[in-house]
Amino acid sequence: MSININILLIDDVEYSREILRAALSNCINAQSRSIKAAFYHSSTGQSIIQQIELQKIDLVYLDINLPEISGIDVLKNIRVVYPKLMVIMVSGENSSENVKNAIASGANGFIVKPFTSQRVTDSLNNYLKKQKKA
Amino acid sequence: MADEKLTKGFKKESAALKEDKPLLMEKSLQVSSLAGHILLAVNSTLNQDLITNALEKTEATVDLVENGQEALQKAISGQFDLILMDIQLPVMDGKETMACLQQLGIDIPAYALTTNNTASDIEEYVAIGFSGTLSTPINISQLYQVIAQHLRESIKENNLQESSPPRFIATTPKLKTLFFTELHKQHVAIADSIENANYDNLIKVIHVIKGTAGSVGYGDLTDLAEHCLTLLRQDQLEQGVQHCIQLNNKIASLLNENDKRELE
Repeated sequence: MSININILLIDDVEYSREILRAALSNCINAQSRSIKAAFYHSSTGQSIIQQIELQKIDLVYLDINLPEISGIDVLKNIRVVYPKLMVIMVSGENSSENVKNAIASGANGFIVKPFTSQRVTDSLNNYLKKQKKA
Repeated sequence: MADEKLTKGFKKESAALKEDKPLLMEKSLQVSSLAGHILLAVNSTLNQDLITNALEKTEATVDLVENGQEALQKAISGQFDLILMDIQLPVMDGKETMACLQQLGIDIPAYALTTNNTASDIEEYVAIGFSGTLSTPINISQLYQVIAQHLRESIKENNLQESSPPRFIATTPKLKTLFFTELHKQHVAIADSIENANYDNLIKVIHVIKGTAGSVGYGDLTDLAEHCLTLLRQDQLEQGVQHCIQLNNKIASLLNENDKRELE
């Protein structure tokens, strides 16, 4: 039986989203079980709650450095409505402030760019593990 | 349910240590052939010296940090086979650090270095995510037992292994095109920001280059961008700007090469 995952990539830089998408596709293809992933994207942190609801998002990759509203604030907004949705923060920097804020706001993962394939695979595996438990 | 899991984890750990004891003696501590990456988060100089000396006999690489916050930052960005961490740490203690690692799904075997070694202490540490404990003052043979369990045997012929795992590199034509289109804009933005002494914007642009260039095969741009950011953020503006100019020259030659390739 195949698993369907709707993945939302939020990053204002298009090719940054595309890199993550390529890395996720690679790691999905390398999985032993069949996974059907649908990718959705947003270049801002605006209207994310509606997007999550409309597109039935299962997993979010959220850049911290977004214009207008920061990724951390987007995460806080998501948590109000979706306390259990898996949200992985993505950032060019693992500064203590970024990490502290991500943890305090309820992030489920933290990936530093440029990333290794292993880190992306780990985040996907953590999602699959959580699904199994639920 | 939680209790059951807890006891199971604890038993498994104790058993593992007992079983490995004769095995390790048999091997007469062939620690010299062990390789891997260890994150060492210790606050006391004595333990730092003892453990780093002991680990020098192996082929493992060690990243040393002195507080929990730094340990967490390292664990997020690096790739480690094992974490050895004091429970008593400044800024963020070992237990808090472990809770953060668990929240972020970072599943690296971690041992608590502590003087609290009663069965209930160990049980508590295992329950929050540690694989086990090492009593302090450090017992070297106990330390070697733990690293023998988690580090791999190095292949002598292959000593040129990279100290960090390779970055993911995307090679699709679409991505390259997107990358070069943006790089062109970034090249102009860097020059403008330098000219107008707009350092906030300069940092913003270079931040994006740092986070992406390495993933399309230009690791040298990422490294240089990172260096620029460090200097600019430390307010070493003159040096920072010089490096930014260097970075921008590199970008210019990359753009030229790419234009030529496209014409061919």
